[in-house]
Amino acid sequence: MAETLRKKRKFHPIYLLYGLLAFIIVSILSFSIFKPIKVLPRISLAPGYALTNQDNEPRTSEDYRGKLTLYTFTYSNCDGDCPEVNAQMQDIRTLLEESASDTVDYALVSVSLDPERDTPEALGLFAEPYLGADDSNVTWDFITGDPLHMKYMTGGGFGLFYEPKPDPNSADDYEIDFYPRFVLVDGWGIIRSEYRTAELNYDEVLDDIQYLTDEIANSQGAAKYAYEAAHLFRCYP
Amino acid sequence: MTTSENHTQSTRPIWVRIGITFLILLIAGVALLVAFNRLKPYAFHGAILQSPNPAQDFSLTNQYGQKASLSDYEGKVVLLYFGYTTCPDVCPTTLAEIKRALTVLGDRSDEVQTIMITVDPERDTVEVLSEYLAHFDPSFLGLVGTPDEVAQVATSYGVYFQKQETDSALGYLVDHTATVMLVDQNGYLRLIFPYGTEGSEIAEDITYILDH
Repeated sequence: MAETLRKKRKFHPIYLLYGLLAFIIVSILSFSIFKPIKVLPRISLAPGYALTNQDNEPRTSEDYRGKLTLYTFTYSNCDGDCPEVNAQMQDIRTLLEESASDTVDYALVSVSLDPERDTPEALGLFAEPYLGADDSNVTWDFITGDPLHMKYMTGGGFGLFYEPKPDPNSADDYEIDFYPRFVLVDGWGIIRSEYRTAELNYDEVLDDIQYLTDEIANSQGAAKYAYEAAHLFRCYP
Repeated sequence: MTTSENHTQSTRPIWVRIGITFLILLIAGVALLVAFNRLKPYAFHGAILQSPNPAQDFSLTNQYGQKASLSDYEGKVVLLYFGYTTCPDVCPTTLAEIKRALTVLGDRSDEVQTIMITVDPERDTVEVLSEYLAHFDPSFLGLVGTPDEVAQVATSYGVYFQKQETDSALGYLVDHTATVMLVDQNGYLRLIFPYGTEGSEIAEDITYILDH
């Protein structure tokens, strides 16, 4: 009788409390060490704008609210050694069409760096070989407008430096000097990732888009806390 | 010694032991709840930003005709809104929700500065702004600049605006992004509230930011 009682004493309820505490501590530690959920940092606010696309239709930053949007910068008179961003955007578009998600729409935007010469018509001609049929579920706009406002947008909002420089081959022509960049903006209009490169790593971009898509899909209920914790612990890829 | 301990233990009635177990589990449960509430990240009502750079400063003219900058309000939480005085519904609703948030905050509303930058600088003169904002709250600050100055500030805060001609007697309307932005005491843009966020929700987020 005394023997069984002594055995019972070993399962003192206090051990339950210790166990629970250990469980909490281990969960928090493993969350911050193994980073089970990956999120992209919310870097800064993307600029607001009201411009025109290649079909002469108005396009504003509000049109992309609720969509994951990949921006890039180019201009139609860009020739020779100009980075071929159009072809890369076209590739990304094809890949996104394949991985279309139910929860979020994707969009592409090419911003003109030379609004003085890039009229909507000029952009239309420039875009035409790449745009293809109209029925894609991933929209792609080439946008242009007031040069000063575009400077505020590209230079100020996206932080991309660009300036005209004389063309060595022709006195009255000019080129735009700039470092190529791609910028991923979420549905809140927040910049989530920047790729400062002339040659985009497609896997990296698609992974980033997937992280954002997952985050949107899990933005309700208890999963939201896990995602906020991932931001707190800076679980960045 | 051991035998006497065992003796007391064994004579303890079963219901006492059940009671102790229950009590310990209860304490553990409460501790867990408290720990969860402490550790659980606060869920903001607005969208969060983790910008490494301070919010873009600006210098415009206030409704009293004086120069005013964002940096003048360092140490306060700044609610930044872009609107205009002839705005039919969105702007008055938003300003009313901000006013409600300040009412909820009570005394702590002294630590908050509301700034409305007009997206209609052609019609919203200093006098017009002064008269308009007095209807809402005497503490609200209205700022105006040249159209280009306003465009530059709005762009950097993710706000677009565009004139929209109408047949109404009010003349043109200005379409614009209707978010409210929160700049914290150190000058960092922290939150963006979508249009329709309630005053009480804005107040909750402000309280959290003031406390942390």
